[in-house]
Amino acid sequence: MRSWLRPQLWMPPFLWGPPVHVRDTVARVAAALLIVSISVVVYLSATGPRLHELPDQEALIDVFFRIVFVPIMVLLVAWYIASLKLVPARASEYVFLNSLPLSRSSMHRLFLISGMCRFPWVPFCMSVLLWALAVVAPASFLIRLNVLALAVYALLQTAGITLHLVVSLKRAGGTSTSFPAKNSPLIQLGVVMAYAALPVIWILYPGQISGGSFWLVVGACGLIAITLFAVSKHVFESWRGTNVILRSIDMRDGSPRMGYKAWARVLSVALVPLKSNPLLIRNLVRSSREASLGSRFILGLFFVAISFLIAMNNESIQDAATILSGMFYLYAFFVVMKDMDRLGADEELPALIYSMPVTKGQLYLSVFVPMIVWLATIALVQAILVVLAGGGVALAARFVLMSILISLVFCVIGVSSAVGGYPNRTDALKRFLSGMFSLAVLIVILYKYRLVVMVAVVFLSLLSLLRSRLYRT
Amino acid sequence: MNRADKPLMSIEDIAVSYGNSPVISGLSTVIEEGTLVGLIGPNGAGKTTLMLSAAGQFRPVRGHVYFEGSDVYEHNRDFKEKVGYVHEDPFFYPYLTAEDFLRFVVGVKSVPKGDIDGQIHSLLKLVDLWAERGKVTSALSMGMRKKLAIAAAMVGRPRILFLDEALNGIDIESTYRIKRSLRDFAAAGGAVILSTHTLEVVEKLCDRYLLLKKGRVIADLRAGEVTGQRGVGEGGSLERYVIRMLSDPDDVDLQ
Repeated sequence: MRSWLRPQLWMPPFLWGPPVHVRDTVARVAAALLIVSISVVVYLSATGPRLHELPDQEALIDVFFRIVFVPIMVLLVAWYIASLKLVPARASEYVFLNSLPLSRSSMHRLFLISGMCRFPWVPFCMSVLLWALAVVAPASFLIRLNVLALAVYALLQTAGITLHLVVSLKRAGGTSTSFPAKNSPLIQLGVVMAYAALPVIWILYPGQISGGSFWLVVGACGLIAITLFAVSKHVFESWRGTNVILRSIDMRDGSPRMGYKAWARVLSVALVPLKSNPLLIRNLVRSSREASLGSRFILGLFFVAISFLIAMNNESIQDAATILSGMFYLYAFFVVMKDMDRLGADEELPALIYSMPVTKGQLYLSVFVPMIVWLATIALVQAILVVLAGGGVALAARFVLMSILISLVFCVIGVSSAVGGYPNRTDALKRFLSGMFSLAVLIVILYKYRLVVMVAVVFLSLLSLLRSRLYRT
Repeated sequence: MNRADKPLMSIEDIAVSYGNSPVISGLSTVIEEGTLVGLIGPNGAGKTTLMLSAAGQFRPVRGHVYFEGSDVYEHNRDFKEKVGYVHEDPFFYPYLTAEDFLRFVVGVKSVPKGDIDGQIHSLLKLVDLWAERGKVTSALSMGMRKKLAIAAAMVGRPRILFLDEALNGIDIESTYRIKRSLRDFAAAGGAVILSTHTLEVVEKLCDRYLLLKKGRVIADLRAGEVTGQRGVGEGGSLERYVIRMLSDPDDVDLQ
């Protein structure tokens, strides 16, 4: 059968599954719907006088930065975190596809499509958020904006995949033993930031996507798409031509799987007492192996910069500090939720640590201490920025103390939920979310005594933590 | 000539390099129809590399691999229609269910339309995943994922199966069923190449053993030929033979 007749070779993955008759029907309906909707979209937004419709620029910018911008940032951070977890599987995907009877171009197309469809919720959520501007912008403008946002998403994903292939190619030719376990957080960060930047530019300068300029942008996107497709195909061919695959398999077959960073080795020897606490050494080495320090640092910087820019939109420094606090709590929530995985069954930590002479308390501390230290560092950096913005030391100190207290509460609830739910990650997350919800309700009801409530929650969580059992304690 | 002597695949003087260091050098062998070949060797011996090269997935720098007389790298797609491969660490699209994943593989291989549902049903039953067919692959346990990979490799009724540590981590009942179906597969004229470190599996399942060391075949025996080999004696086990063959001449304890 010719390749283009096989739906698996050109359809998005969510259409691979259903039985043939259902899939074919769905494919036909989807294709018809696509053609109809493109025609409608073109008619409604990009023809005649509608092509020139523009929103009130001031109102648009005001609503965008007040309502839509922060959820977009949260969406992008979530996308970034999710993408960091998924990148290493691409070499395995290639090994799998390579075992199937696929032509080179089919394999390249599948590789691109499955890469682009990994996060379908990102363009969907972005579209929903952009439609929130309907209160101040005409529908034709929003349709044009959404169409271009979707096109930009597809282009950036293709560019990201191509760049990842180039980086892998470089690594495979070198002497690094870290391929394919590591990924390139900077490339993904670039993709995420470009995806955020382009809609913002079009909102700041709406004239660029109206009138003749709109079709110019569409044409440019088309040209870039054709170029990117050709480049990615070329790079994919070079990538599969190297011994990348053999190398990835060789890593599994008895050879060391991950490279330890030299600086981590030096630090672990120089700063940590070798005999007194093997737990710390293990953790330090493990952290460096995961390369999560790098991505955490980048994400932290990203968060500090964005939250400060948003907060400083307010004239009153008091209001700015309140917004900073709100954003910090959200950040702390995500950090704790992610770090709970370190006490999960999927991680090697409990099993690894229990092969050494350490206590339950040391194990909990090994997760708890890095979490609270990191959150305190972020709070401190934000407080310094508040002082530099003219907020005064007293305001900054109050901000830091409150942030640290809240972080403490989050961390204690997070660790006790992880231990309570072990080895079931979903159960642990449910416990954490219900704990946070109960805390929020209690604080709302007993707002006057919120500090007492928080201290009590910390105390009770610590008590349950001391009495709990994890792994084979 | 009986079926077991009829060559299905012939590997001729292949060499594979990894960077500057050779992984396989000058390896030749023939895989006959109806045989179950056990590939044994220490870590880094080149087992996976040999299987990948023989399965048309990694072109050797020298030599040829022929399947039914035609070069597998000249007619790569046609050859892969007739091959099933289970990787040591199999890949799955995490958002597809077990059944959907098989349907994806079915769609890529040329399975006749009328045969699709029947094949998927029988394969899921074979690996005891029928009850789990609606679960997404990311929710399956490691053993279940291995079973699904075996089912995916058997899609399209291949002529030759490559199993890289495929039976590790699978429960006893399923292993028994899979082993039985592998024997049936071979009896119907197929060939199985199984790489594993579990010698009991090789001893009970395979009728030919290929022992690899540093990218070369150092022993090629039929089942039953182990007994009487030098240093093994009458009634000696495959384990004893492999240890004797792999051990350093100076290592008195192992010998």
